[in-house]
Amino acid sequence: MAVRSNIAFIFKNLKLNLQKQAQYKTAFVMQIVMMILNNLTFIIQWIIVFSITKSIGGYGFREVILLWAISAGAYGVAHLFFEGAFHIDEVIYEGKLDVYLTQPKNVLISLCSSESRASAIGDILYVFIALLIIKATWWWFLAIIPVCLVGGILYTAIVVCFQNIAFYVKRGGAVANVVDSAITMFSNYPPVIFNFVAKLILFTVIPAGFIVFVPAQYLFLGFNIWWLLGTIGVTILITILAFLLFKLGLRRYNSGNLMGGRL
Amino acid sequence: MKVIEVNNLSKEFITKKRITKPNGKKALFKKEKIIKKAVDDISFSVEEGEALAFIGPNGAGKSTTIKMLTGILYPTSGSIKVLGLNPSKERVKLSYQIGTVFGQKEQLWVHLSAYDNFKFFGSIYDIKKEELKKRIDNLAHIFEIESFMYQPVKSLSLGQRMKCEMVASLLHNPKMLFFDEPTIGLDPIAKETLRKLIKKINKELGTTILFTSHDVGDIEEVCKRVIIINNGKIVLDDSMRNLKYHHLNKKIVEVNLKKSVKLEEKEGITILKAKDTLYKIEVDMNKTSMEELMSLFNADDLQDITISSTPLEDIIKNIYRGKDE
Repeated sequence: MAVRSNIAFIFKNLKLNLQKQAQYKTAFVMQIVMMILNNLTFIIQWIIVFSITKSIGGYGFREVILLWAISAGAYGVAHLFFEGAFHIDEVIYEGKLDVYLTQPKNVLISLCSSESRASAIGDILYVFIALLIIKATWWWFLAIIPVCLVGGILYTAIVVCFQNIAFYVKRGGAVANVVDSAITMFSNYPPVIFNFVAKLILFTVIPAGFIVFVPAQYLFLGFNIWWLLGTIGVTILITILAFLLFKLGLRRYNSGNLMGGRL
Repeated sequence: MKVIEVNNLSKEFITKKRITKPNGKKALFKKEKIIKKAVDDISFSVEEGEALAFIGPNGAGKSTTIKMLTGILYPTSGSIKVLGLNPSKERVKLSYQIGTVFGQKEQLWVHLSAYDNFKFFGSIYDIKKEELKKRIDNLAHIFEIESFMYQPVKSLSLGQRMKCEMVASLLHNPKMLFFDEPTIGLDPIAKETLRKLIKKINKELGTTILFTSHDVGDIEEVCKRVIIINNGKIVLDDSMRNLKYHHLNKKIVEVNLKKSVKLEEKEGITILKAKDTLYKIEVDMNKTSMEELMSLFNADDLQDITISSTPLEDIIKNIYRGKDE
């Protein structure tokens, strides 16, 4: 019941956020279109790369674009539904959590879903454009939806874990921003190009490897049920950790008296 | 029945300051911890249906106390029970039973209409659609917001926004309302309207109200009991009637006359300042009346007149002075 109520609440927040942004229709549409175009330019980059070499560690054009599609999808889901997660440090620093703390919904869910990035819709649409470009089989179009949802949740949870540093260190969110950039950067390239240490980090400290590499490798390009179950397990574990760390951090929240409203 | 019980409540904030070296320069990394007691060992209780004013100058600890009572801040020490619940541990349960309005922090989405905001609040508190519509209609009538509740919040005046904030905080039928400086920044007319509405909520809906302000005028009309807080400590916990009799009995009258006259002091009338045609006079309402003051000069000579209450800071000074004596 609580899960259903929270999911309904997330969608309610999303609806209001999009309603708010759609007031400026041209800007709203432009953001989406520009994001699709931005992502498409990377396809051109890979066409040039693969005109020079046939494959990178066994990954050809089709496989690399698949990685980019999953990465854009997870990024899109995270920034469309949970944009607030990427600004937790500002909210803590400016003492703006008060509104969420006086309401009966989960504070972290309220905060994360309080904002949406319109351009994230472009990222999500790009997923299907990319699959069309590589002439993916029909079941890829279906399977990529849960993959992007799980990836988006895991991506958000990792960022939240690091954003929590802001409860202890002023402007501690800078660390989360570095992690955020690292996830986006490393997810877009074939795992084979990374050395052992980099791979170890991507499957432990910053478990970004589970967002893109694992589903790409063990669902679309091959099949391994254990790796896939492992991804779900890691997502649940990191999400629980994010909630626990946030709850613990709340004890150190100092509030503030800055004037402000919900924009 | 007691709805709030606060015992030996304290809240400390730790800040860090860069150390000054013997040569007068500030150290680059070395910092010293400074502990500031925002709330210092306070105890009080509130009865059901009471309208209590919590007043004090800026930085006195009013907002910190209200934030601990609503579960926003964790206390450093002491205990709190609000409606029988511990706000730090049972925040979610408590939030269904209380409403909050922070004058400095809006909870409404400014790009949306007040009506859309109310629907959103309805979903936060899991209120069924039909029931929510009834409550919005009823509150919109009480607060007289029907004419502007479909406009985006950003286009409303501050007074209209505060009315909508209050409606949003009442949608879930809370047993208690916490108002943290709701009249801040409002013009006198909007302040007056809001004060009347708060009084109405307390009387007609029977909602317990805890009201903070640094404006004495705010509480004169609304509350029967007042707690004055300064430097984190309670300096007075008394009825509004006693506060009025002992500390709000003096009015400051500033008059500007057409020509200079010689005003004579009488019992209860003290001339604080006289410069050309401008006079600043203190009137002790327990000893004399405004009529008596007006008899000191010809009403036809009056160009301008301002009457104000004693500033809160002066009242606190008087309370301290009274305690010392």
